[in-house]
Amino acid sequence: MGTDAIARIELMSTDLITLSWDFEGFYRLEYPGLVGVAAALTGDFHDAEDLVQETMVKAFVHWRRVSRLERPGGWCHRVLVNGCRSLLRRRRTEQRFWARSRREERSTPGPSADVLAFWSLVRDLPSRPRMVMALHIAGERTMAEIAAILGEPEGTVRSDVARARVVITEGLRG
Amino acid sequence: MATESENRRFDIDVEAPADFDELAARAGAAMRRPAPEHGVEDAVRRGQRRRVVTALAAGGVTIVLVVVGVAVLRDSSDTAPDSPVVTTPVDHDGDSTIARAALISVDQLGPGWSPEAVVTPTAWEDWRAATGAQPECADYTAATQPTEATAAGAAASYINLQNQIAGEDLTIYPSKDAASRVMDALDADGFEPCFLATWDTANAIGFPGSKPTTTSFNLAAPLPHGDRQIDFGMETITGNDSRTRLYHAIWIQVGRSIIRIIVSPDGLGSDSPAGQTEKSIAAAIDLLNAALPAR
Repeated sequence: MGTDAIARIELMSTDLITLSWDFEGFYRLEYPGLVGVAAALTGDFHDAEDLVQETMVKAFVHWRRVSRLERPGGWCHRVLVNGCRSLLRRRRTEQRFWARSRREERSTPGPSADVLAFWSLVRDLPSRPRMVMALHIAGERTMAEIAAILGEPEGTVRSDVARARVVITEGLRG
Repeated sequence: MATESENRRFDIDVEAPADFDELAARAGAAMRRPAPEHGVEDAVRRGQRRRVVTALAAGGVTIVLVVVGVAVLRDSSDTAPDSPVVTTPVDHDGDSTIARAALISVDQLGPGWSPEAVVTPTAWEDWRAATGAQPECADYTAATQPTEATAAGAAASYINLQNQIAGEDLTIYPSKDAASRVMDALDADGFEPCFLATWDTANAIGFPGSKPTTTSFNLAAPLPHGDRQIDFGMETITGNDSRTRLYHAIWIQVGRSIIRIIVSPDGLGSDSPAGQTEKSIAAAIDLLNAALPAR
């Protein structure tokens, strides 16, 4: 390994140590909402945790740029939503050709029946309203933030929420 | 008409259960989890590893990463003696003919595209040197390098439109099982960083001074195709001109064949049937299916 390469790595390591202090606070702040959105969209906490961790790795790799954004959390949510979309597509492909491996059930209590029904109805919504509701309810994101994350007009997001609420309400009534 | 009464609550002009907001709040809380105890350390460690790998790989050069990219994992020399791919007697000549006949051409991508004469002996040498510079990736390269012993036929074509590329490598393996084993290797966690590092190293060798640094980039997955599909996005920044280029690398198994597409995504998105990515994939699969019955 050449001297230049070694020097570059050492310099970079120093930068990373400095950067990681800010990153840690960001990680702990954003993680609960991110994993909530991913779990709501995928219906699987294991997948959700994997997706969020991968999102956080990407955030760290690009931290110098991400940390300067007005809403670093929005960047992560956008990456995460894309990751969820990819996972859901891959899952559909895998289901056609491979038996899905069963995962061990968690020993912790699961959500109540009405909560499960709620998210089941959300996951039955068309793609965009599904993303909107996951970001709104599980991610606790404002309408403006969701509009920015999904690249949609804020009015469209508001309309999606209102319509989704009607559909979910009717669904819950059975 | 909906009116936002507070950050997360909506009042709407329909009759709704009074406890809707309460249920939504519980549903949201049920999905959220606190950050895992060692999550930060894990993310930092993985992120550092990725950055170090790409920093090591950055050496020199410009763009046209296509040229060396053509050779990615297709080096036909330096056969791995213990390759896991199953070898069975095959009609090499016939499969090679099929592979060449099934490659996408400029006709499939619309006006403006032109063939890229990139598969040069130098490019192959560059890629060979790049794979040798990544010893930690030996397992992946061994599993994914088609050779005369492991692949029945292989062919590649690259076409370009200004700075965009649509390249294809098509490898026909002796059996579906052999192709599946290659896909298993591609699907392993370590493959993507190895691919990115080798990509940079090869291009640094081929284009001294360009200083490419490639990291994974989140792109929407293409629509599902074939028997199995693996994809990831790549963001390459060239140090000499600070330009950023995105590529989508996609491997699709169709029976005993594996198609690899490396394409510059356009504004339509990777999953849009009208977009460059989907058009390339669809053309490659259609041509392969059309060529195979002739066998």
